[in-house]
Amino acid sequence: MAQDRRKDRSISDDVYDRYWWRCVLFAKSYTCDQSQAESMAAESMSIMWQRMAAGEVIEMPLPFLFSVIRNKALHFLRHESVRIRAHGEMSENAVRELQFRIDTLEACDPHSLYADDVRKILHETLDSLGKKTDRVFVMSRFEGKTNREISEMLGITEKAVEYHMTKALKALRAALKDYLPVIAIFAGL
Amino acid sequence: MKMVDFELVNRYLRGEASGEERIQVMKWVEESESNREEFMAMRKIYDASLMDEDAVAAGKHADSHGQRAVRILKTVASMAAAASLAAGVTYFLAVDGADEENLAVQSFIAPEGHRTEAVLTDGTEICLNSGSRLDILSSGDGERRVRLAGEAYLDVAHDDARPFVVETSRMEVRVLGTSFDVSTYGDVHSVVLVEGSVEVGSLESQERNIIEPDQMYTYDGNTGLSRVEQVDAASMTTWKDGYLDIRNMTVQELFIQLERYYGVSIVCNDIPETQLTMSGKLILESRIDSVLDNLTNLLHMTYTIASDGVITVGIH
Repeated sequence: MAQDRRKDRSISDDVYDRYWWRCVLFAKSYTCDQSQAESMAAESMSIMWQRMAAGEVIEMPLPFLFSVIRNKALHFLRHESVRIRAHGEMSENAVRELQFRIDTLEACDPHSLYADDVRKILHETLDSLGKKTDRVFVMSRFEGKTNREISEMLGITEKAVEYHMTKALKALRAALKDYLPVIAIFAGL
Repeated sequence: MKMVDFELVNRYLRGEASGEERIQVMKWVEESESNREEFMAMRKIYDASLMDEDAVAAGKHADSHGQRAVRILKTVASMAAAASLAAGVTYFLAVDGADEENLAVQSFIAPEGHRTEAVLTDGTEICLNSGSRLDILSSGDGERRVRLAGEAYLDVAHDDARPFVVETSRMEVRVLGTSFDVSTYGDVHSVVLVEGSVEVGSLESQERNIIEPDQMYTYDGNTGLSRVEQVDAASMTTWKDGYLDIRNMTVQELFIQLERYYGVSIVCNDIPETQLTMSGKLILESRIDSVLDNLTNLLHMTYTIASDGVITVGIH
């Protein structure tokens, strides 16, 4: 099945449609900076095209893109950390919080997260939650929409959007509880 | 926060939590080992779910709004690709801590129709306007010095010990830490100050002016005259955010701005006697024809682009 999905993949609009928001959300999740996230997503895609244009076969675009973004984000965050320490312009807590994000990003391995069985559990769990919850989760997670946008488009309240998101997250947490190895790498803390 | 605040953690994971909220999440994580496990699991679910290929198809045909966003963002990506390919931007990777303090990037070029953004290793942020070039001349002790041709918006990292100097072919701007815009189109070079303060003067005279926020210093190389005037700095620097803030602008004035930005020549015949002025925001698309297409409806105009690149506009 994975093979079939890969077949029609080409260097085209399709790549954007599929991956743009995911790349932005991944980068933003660690950098907390929309414009940095967009430029990292754009750069990762342009690197992938250059490689593909040069004849390289990229079997798994998503882990590839996420790995590029991971490295760019780490570079950015470490630089930020050096900068704010040097300037002493932020509180000690803020410096620690930045380091916390660096540590968690270092612990993130896009290739292992992409492993088929993890995605299978995710997919089955989302399927079991009912159409509305699945829809809200997809809009929030994959289309980069805010709670307000989702509430307007689906004609439900923002509270309801939050309810569906919480329900989805709780279910995923339970489904993956025994599965995800919890790696505690927090040397700096 | 004893129990998991899903809503807060979700906001955190989306990168939308405020600085204070992020610290709140961190402190909750530090409270106990079980909190840490809980957080790391949610962190992994977030990252893993972004990579769930099957859900992509579900989201793909969602609506036309999504499609439009994708189209706009495509421009951003092609812009970045073009900038890194065509411009020969030299990126610098810090090898060790000692080199962090040097501005080791040699030069930045923004091709026509594209903006380039860069953060120097001292933390100074630079947004280079279309068709501009910035060279790093010195970065060691004493001062940080760059040379600019075209236009740039600079947010200079404060450093009392090392003033930041922007030189153009006609003038010199000296700052400690501030945000300002320098442009060098033709013989008229100017500085618009957004915040802080800068000292500026022409290369030909010793006279130095200190300008304040919302002031513009202009030096005319033809006449050798300089002046300082009051302006709205924010509206004059919107190009860095990808649009032009147009206020009571005539068609000719707008075309001059577009000529600069896209490095093209626009010939306009049949301008009506009674000149109307325009106000609004004009999105700076990556191609001049996209912008002209947008203007076509508004101005009842037609345009042709000749093989030599000269654009002839007719207004009816």
